[in-house]
Amino acid sequence: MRIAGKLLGAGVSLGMIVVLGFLLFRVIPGDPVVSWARGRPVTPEMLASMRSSYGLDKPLFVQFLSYAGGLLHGDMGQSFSYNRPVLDVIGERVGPTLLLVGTSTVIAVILGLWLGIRSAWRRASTFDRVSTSVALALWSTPTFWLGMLLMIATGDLFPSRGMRDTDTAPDFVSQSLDVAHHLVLPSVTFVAVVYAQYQLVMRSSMLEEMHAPYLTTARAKGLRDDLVRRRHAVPNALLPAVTLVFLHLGLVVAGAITTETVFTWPGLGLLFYDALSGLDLPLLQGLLVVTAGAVVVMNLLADLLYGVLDPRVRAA
Amino acid sequence: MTPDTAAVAANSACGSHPGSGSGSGSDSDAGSGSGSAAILELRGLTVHYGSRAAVRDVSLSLAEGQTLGLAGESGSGKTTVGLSVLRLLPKSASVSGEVLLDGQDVGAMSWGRLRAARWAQASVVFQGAMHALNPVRRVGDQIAEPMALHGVSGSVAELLDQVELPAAKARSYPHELSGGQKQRVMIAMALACSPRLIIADEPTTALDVIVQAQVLGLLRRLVAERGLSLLMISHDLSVLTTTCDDLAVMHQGEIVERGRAAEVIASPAHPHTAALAAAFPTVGAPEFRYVERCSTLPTLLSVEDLRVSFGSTMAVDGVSLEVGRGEIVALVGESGSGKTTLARTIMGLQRPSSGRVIFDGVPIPSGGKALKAYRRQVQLVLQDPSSALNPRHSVYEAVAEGLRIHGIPGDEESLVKDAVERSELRPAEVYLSSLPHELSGGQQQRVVIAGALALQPRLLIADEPVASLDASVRGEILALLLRLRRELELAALIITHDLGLAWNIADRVAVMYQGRIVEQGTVEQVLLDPRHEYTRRLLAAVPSTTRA
Amino acid sequence: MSVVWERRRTALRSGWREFTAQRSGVAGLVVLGVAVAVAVLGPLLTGASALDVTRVEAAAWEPPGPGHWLGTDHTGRSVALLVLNGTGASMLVGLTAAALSVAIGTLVGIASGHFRGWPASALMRVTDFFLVVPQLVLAIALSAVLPRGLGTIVLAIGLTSWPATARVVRAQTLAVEARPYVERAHALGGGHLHVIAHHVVPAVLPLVLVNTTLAVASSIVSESTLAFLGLGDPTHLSWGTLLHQAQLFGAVSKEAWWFLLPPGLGIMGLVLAFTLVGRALETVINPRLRS
Repeated sequence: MRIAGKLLGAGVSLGMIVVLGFLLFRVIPGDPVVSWARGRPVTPEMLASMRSSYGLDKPLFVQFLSYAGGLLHGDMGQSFSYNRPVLDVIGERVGPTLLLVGTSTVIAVILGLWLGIRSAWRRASTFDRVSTSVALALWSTPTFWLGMLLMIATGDLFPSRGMRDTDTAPDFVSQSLDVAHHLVLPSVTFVAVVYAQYQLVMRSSMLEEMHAPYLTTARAKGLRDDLVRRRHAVPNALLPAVTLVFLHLGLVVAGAITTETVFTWPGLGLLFYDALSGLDLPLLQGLLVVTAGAVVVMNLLADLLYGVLDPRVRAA
Repeated sequence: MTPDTAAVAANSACGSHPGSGSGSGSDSDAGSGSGSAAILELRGLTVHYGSRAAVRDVSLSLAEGQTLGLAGESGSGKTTVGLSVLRLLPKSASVSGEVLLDGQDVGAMSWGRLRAARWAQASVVFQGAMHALNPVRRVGDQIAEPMALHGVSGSVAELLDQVELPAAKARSYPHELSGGQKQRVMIAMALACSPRLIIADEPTTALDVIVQAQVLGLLRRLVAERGLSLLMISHDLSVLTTTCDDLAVMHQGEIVERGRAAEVIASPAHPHTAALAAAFPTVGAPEFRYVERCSTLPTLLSVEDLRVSFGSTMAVDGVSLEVGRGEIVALVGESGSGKTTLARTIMGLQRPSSGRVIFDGVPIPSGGKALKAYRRQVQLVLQDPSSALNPRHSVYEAVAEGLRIHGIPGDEESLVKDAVERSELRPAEVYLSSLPHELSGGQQQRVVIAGALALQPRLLIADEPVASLDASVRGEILALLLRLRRELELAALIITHDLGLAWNIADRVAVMYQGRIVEQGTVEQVLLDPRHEYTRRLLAAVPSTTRA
Repeated sequence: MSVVWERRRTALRSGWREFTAQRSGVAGLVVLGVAVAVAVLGPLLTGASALDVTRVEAAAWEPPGPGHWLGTDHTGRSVALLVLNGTGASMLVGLTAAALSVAIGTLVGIASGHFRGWPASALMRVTDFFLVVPQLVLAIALSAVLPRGLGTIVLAIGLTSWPATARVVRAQTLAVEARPYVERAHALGGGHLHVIAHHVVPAVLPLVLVNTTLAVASSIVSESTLAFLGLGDPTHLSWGTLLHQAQLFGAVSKEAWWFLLPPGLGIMGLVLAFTLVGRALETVINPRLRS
């Protein structure tokens, strides 16, 4: 029952994303071809042919139907600047983004949760003060700026452009090492900015539980302090923290866009930047639908996982 | 009389173990002291939070097998005493004096020694309805946890059996259990390491009477069978007297009276004890009946075959009820019986599925101005006055709120003052600018009543009007309700789980069970000669301070 | 009525005491004061000509030195003056976008928390949707399709960041509505307007204040990110557009740290200041957070 409701909700969200993509890129700009043509040498004939090839001369309602119908078949239109199907262009960029975002998020979550638990348990200690201040400072830092500073500060220690060098030996080990080497700076930047929110969320979630009566029960049983924390406080504090972490997945997307732009990491984020600089509206539209859709799906997974983790939700 | 026989039966179960330590429990290992030595002794215990003394110079001793009740109102320091036994007070507390557990000073123990003593020498039964159980772990694991920790062998199933729960409940999470079951789990957990002392802190608060009686019976049986010592902490004197041989009464951090429970109740020496005792009336005892008259009165409110359903559940299922002018009717039932939904429907806060509510001969309007005008006539007094008042609004604003909503003509200030003084906050000027948190619970409830009186209603619907108040102010609020009835011919429908309250002030009683009214009549008819099986069960379960 | 004012003044005073007890909050407030002064005085001090590319005489990419104590950019303009001038735009966008976002969020939050029935649940559904959809992506899309300018940036941020406020306000509204004193107000005959105006809004306002300061902080970061991605207003210098130019003209490869460091530190400092003030305010209104 609960699962069916969640699935339905996610379905509605995906539908809303599709509508939003249409509204943003077909309705608000008026004539997307004209905005694309801004600052480009194009003749009126070219514009007219583009319009008819994109179906822009038809009524909005018909346009929406053909757009939505196309989406159902995996057709997101043709990219202006790449002159290829949007979905193909996006498809080849997914891998690098998953690599960067995946590794960094795992590190950031582990680091953030651990620091958050420790600083809440020893509240107002030096550890708490220092780690919370650092987290706040990093949280206030623009990702791209931190990336640029890191590049200057590390000099030639790590590569700062792209994902692999052209002259690396083709065997798997050398290739992997090369990618890993390229991954260092972007992922450090990414982790630095993203872990802070996990720490802050976990810390406040732990503080909420600190005075819970069941902790007194646990102490009365004779449990050591660290067992009280590990067995009783953390499992309860983790659940709301996990929800918030998934709710803030959008920040991960933002981090990916700026980090990849700074380090020219060939993923979806850089594609976003390229589409933006070239005002490639079909590509932007495709990226919006894909990233937003991915976040909705991730949230659905988190919701389902939450139900497994929390017995109270499972019962509801 | 049913309630008294129950109390007597309870006493004999408890009384067979006088405080001599003759318990047949085989688990009493050869400790440091002899059999007559105190298992727990407090010597001049004083606890400060900052500069405020929560507990002052408390000395107590509890012998092997003895049962001691520690009574007191909220803030009297009784819970602090309980927590100090196992050194569970928060860091902000500074403790002086000695707490001797089996002859050893708890305050002087090393952390390791203290951890070993916790639960093995003394365990605690917390109020299980609150979050004393970890919500995300199975109760079986929570019961087994101290056994593994202290290296005690035993089986969870056996412990559950002891508290009369099926072994399968070990796999449940706390939210899957009822309040009574959670409390049983707490008791099973407390027995896990076979301690010789159990500290029970409000073990039955927030439970319905019948469940409360079962849990108390269970606790009494286990304590007697195992020859345990019991320190039971409660605000409820009747609960303590049905469970414990001895009684100590705390007031403002000090013990003001102690002795054999029966003697303390029968002839309280301290006025505070007397006030506490009066708050737990014996149903049927004439000295606790504050009203006499019960002539037939013209009908003010009548409810006809009312039904309210939420989805498929029928919260109110065909209720008919009448309240006469100036009559006090008690609507008695346990939580979930539908009594609060019924009250909300009478107020027009909840729409009925079918049936009618007729006030002064006219069916109540379903909305608009007419409903607003109706609400002037019927006012609500809620259970917890501290949350029934907006913490940001002063007494003046709270009382004037209704006047402003209805745009009542006249000098607002004098109307407010008049209402405040009628509810016995005198002189009104002193209170008008106070914020709720600056007032005591009793004063807050008077403000709520004043807010209702300002609209000159004809019927007061009071939902557990004294349940969250300290015992000593309960009588004053009841006297106020009676006086308002006498002076203003104000009728009242009092919703309560407390049969003693009904006996105190009601003219008639209606007993509600599972959405239906199973019995109604005059107080004497229903409470002294109950016809319905449920009413009898309810009466039998009421703990009583009277001892044979 | 004077009693009421007296009480409010006392409440304010004790709130202020609680606030000043937190050093980080006070530090944030001081930084904010300095930033406001710089934003107002900066353009007055520099004059228009100093930043006119056609009239600067210094060499490009000059490191910090006696003439330009923060060095020069790719056109030879003084970085110090650029940063001073950028303060105003960054702050203006941050404040207006936050105001827009908090206003929408508060309205939606109260409405969806107070009312029942399908319009409220639809509103809630929409809030949850926008809460999940990546905010920056929406803001990018909006600023890409609308004409460039400060107004677009403000709209793009304000229209996409309100769900966070709405969520918090809604939770607080629900908490207040569940209090017995709201039930009492209904029983006294109060309608929607009465309950919202006398019970919900006063309880929600402190929270809105906290949220505003936090929203300003995140709006400033969002502005700098949008500007960095080239979506900024080309005619108004902000710290974000400075960093965009630094990236565009190769400050990193020239190791021109002096062009990167000041605007970034400005953003970080201002954001941190707003965040610290917000957290300190949060502690004032929520005693449970105090140690």
